[in-house]
Amino acid sequence: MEFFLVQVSLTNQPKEKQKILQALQKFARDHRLPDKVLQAADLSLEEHLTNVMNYGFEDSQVHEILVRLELVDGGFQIEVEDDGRAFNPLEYPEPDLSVPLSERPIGGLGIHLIKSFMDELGYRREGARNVFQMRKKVTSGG
Amino acid sequence: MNIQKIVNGTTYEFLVAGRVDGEGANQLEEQILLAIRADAQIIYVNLQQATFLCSAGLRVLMQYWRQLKARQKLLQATRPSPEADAVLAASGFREMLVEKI
Repeated sequence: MEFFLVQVSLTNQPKEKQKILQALQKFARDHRLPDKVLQAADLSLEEHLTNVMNYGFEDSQVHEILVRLELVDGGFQIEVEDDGRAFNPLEYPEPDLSVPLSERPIGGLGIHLIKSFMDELGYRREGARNVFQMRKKVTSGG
Repeated sequence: MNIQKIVNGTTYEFLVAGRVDGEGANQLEEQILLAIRADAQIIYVNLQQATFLCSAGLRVLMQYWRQLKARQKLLQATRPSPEADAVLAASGFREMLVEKI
């Protein structure tokens, strides 16, 4: 049976990312998503989940992170929900790519990569939860 | 991720296959550090078989490219796969970090 919406529950442990990778690959196979869509989604999920797991929580408790994969209006949408501190990735400053590599700060490229590889992004704060949406158009050419 | 090492004198080449994700980046960093401790003068990170590259991998490449350059040594990424090349290009690293063939 095919599902057009899949929800995966993770905890804030890096090894949990393997779970969503497997779900993403299965979803891409089931819905014949182009390779470029899968690659963009894979990269964006890795970057966002790394940020949430590494910087989102101020305690050392186990937290649940929900990831929803969905086909919506000709696009592939990923929604990530967490109960970490409020953080809107869209407000994170863009890196200055014109600065020589030798002078650039190390790090800070993850959100830039998400913005580069996905077509539409959205953020909302729902009560004590962050909800980050990433969307990629699905066309036959990827 | 799998890393194969080829050593020729003080030149090291790491053939990286698979996903350079957070965990893969840590593995790569360990190998680069071992090479630096062994007095490597040139380090090539061959990305031909890298199916995935994220910002953690970019951080490792940039950090040790910079460190080696400051010591008049060299680190370069070579032969990036299409997946790795897209990330290198989007981050502005390709021109500076990838070996020109």
